[in-house]
Amino acid sequence: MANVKFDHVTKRFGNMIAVNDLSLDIADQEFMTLVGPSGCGKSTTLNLLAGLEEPDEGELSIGDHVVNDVPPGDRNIAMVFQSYALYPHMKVFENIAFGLRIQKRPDAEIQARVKEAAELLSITELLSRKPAQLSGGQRQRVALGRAIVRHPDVFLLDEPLSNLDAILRIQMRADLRLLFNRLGSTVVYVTHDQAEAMTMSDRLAVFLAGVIQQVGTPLHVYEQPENMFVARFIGSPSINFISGHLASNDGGYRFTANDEFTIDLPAGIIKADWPAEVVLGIRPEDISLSTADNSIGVQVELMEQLGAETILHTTVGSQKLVLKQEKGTNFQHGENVSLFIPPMQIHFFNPKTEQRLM
Amino acid sequence: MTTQAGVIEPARPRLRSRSYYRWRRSILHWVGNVLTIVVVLIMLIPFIWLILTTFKQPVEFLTWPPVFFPTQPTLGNYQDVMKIPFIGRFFLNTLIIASASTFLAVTLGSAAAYALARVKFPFHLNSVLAIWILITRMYPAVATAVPYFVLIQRLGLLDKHLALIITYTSFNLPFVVWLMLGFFQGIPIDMEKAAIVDGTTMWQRFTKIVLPLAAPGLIATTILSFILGWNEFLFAVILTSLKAKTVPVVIAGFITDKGLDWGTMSALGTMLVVPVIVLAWISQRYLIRGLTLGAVKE
Repeated sequence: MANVKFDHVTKRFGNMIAVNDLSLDIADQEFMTLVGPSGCGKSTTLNLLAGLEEPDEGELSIGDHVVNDVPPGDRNIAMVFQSYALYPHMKVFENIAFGLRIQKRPDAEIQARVKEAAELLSITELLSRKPAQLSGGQRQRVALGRAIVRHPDVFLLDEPLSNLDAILRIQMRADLRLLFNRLGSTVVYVTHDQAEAMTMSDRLAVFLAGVIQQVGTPLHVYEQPENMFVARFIGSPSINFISGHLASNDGGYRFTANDEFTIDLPAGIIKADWPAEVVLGIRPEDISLSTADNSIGVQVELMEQLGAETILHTTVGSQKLVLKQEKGTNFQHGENVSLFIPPMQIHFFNPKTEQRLM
Repeated sequence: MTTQAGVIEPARPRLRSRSYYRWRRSILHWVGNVLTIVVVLIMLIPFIWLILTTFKQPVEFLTWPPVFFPTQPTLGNYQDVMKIPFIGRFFLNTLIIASASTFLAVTLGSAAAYALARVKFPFHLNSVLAIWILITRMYPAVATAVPYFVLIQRLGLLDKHLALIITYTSFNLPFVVWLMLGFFQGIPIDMEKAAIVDGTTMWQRFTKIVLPLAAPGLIATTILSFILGWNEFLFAVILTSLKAKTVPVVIAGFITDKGLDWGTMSALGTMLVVPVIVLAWISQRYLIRGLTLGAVKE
């Protein structure tokens, strides 16, 4: 097993900078998720680590070795692809054994290791089938088996769950995490799904336009997003942003939204050097229904019943506010409701830099 | 059409009776069948005529009105073929030349196609090379016949197998490269990336992953290349006289100033065609898959 280190790594494709001055340390046995929208550079980062792409600048190390010039086969890594990339003309056994055969391992060892991997993934009975005869979930497991059998230092997983249906995806999320806990290996996992990133990772790195926006534990990133992009990308439904300005008021501060409702804030939350124009961010689950006189009057536009919870889409003027409520909440379309936004849960952002104000 | 100012009436399809649709469908079905039969007959009649002629007596070849089926079937024409001097040698020549040129064209062509499909060359060389390869097929081959004859003569290859093997290989290469290029590009790149991470060399990927997956394409190109080498006439007649002479040249030899020997010609023609038909029949499953797979991306 091994740690992984990106040291000021840059990768360009023509004029496009896919990965820009990336520095990232991944600890031994850590489950690190690279998450971001498509085209953000997360897959390129994984390909750089795999050796499928070469960095233009910077150093890349696995364990104590700089691997910039090491061919993929010698890096002792294994990769799982979104498309599974199984070899359709080979049986499952040969698919899993392929890497070992290329390494010219003795036949007895290959038999034993394929058997071990197959048992770990409960696919022993599939070994004599061809990939075309397998379901999506089974193919997924074979692709994992092909990686596990090589006992790699680092597992690289490129959107491995994206092709599965929703129920299987959520089940595999837990299965995968348990599997890698048991293997005790370093994992670099790429996904565009923030729910996967949140639920599976020890730490996650949020990417945008080839640049890491924030690295941290899922909860830290969720609770302390460093900029508006991270705040918006992590969490579902997405955080609410309200543009407005701050003014001092009665020893505290008052936030006045562009849509003219106000929120009174106690002293201590706002710092004196902040700009007057700000963006207020509040998570849907932090907004509560209220009857107090400092509440905001909104109109219910849409209600989504999810069973365990209810998502309310409301409007005040042109401002939309989404909030999450417990199950059983019931409103009519167009009904007027009062909301309370607790000051301690609010994040403020600079509208120009989009950075969090602290 | 508007019924009211600004209100457009939605276009509703006019439904007809169920029997109308059934009737229309069965008519279309039968028109299709009849057209298929007509096209197949147009393709097959000359061929059937050729085979029937081989069993006819000489008097029936050119009688009026023509006789379709032989009235007194005979194997005499085939016996005449067997009497042609060196006929076995000519068949062997044809087989050697067609096989060798097919082997060379398919091996070199598919390796070249794989490189064009997977290696990114600088200066847009991938598309430049692909088009350049095709250029050799863009002018009539006969235009080069005379200088080509001189070239082969200077090389001392006249009437040698190698002359035709080189010629047919160069004819088939562009065709193999283009067909296989489509196949290789159709193989998902992730599969090869997985093999790269597994530690394979490019040659291992080509032989263990890519070629098995492109097998239908290889079989199709092999058969089509073989047919070209087996049937080619123009360069065979220019570049050979006896030792490397192929069967199509022998057939043409029956057209003489003393007349046409229809019976022997058609018997020899039939003997030339049958092996190709058998070959195509055996591999038709792959041939059909091969001819469609490369074209359509899944």
